Amino acid sequence: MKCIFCEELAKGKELLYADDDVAAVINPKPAVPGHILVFPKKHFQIIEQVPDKIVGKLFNAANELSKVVFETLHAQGTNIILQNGGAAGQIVPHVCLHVIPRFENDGLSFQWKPKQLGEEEMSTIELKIKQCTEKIIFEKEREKPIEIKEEKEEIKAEEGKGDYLLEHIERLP
Amino acid sequence: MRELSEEELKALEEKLKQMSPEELKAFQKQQCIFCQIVAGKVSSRKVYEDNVCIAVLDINPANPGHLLVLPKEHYPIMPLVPKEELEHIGKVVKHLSHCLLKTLKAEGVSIFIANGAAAGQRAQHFMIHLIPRKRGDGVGLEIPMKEFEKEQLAEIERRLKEGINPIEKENKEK
Repeated sequence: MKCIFCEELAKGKELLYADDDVAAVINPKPAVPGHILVFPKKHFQIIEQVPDKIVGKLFNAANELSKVVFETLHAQGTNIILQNGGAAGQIVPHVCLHVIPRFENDGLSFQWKPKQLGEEEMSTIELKIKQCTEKIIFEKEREKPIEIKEEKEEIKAEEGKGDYLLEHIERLP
Repeated sequence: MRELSEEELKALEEKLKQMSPEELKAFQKQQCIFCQIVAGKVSSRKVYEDNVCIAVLDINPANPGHLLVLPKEHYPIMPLVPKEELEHIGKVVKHLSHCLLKTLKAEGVSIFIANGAAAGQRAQHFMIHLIPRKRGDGVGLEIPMKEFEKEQLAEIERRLKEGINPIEKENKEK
């Protein structure tokens, strides 16, 4: 699949920030000037496919960049948004956190209309989600570099998991 | 809750000024509804809990299954959350998003953070919203793509890069 993020990385596009796993660029078509995109260097379509350790780094990098936005652009706020899946507005098939500087009267609005749900419906949803969260297992973090054999196994597992997950999510354009 | 009179407000302001940072934090915590939810003093529909954070169902959901992920500690805004806690919360968000996709047959999840009133933050407790999404659900949250003057963008880029240098340095030293 063609991915503009992977293509630009391969071409050596100038990055605003980079470490071993995470990169950030300035969005050339921003919601507000200074809008930053933070993404994993490796190709993952949705957050569920990204290893835990890199997910942590993504959130940390977004927070650090949001701090830079506050300090250097004197923003009055920031929004950090991850559109996970086409139905959530994702348009590029590569996981990406948006860091958006906010100012009074900047013309943006990220607000939703609250829905009123019955107690019974809320209880059903609560129970369903709880049954799933009870089974959450975090991936073990490795302090030392991964041995090659181990890495191959890990990638295989991730790919398998990804296919399974993608069945549950609407395909991206 | 009744509104405070002008005199009471003045007295409160004076009290706040004289507090040490520790006292002020304790006071904020005491006033924060989400800290009371974390402590179990206010009831909530809790779907996840560990040492660092909890996740509850939003009582005013954008969609059914709308979750709030809250650190147990009181941090008014995201920049105040320590690195290790934020990284952990990020991982929890990933796994919760997976649960929403699996259990509610959501077609996507909007993960949303507001820092500061200008960004739409209302609560005085940092939180991450997870909103299960379906196509055409009308929730919104689209991110516009706009055209700006090249000079304006170049100036902003220059300022951001100046601010980034210290982070890069810090990471290389590690």
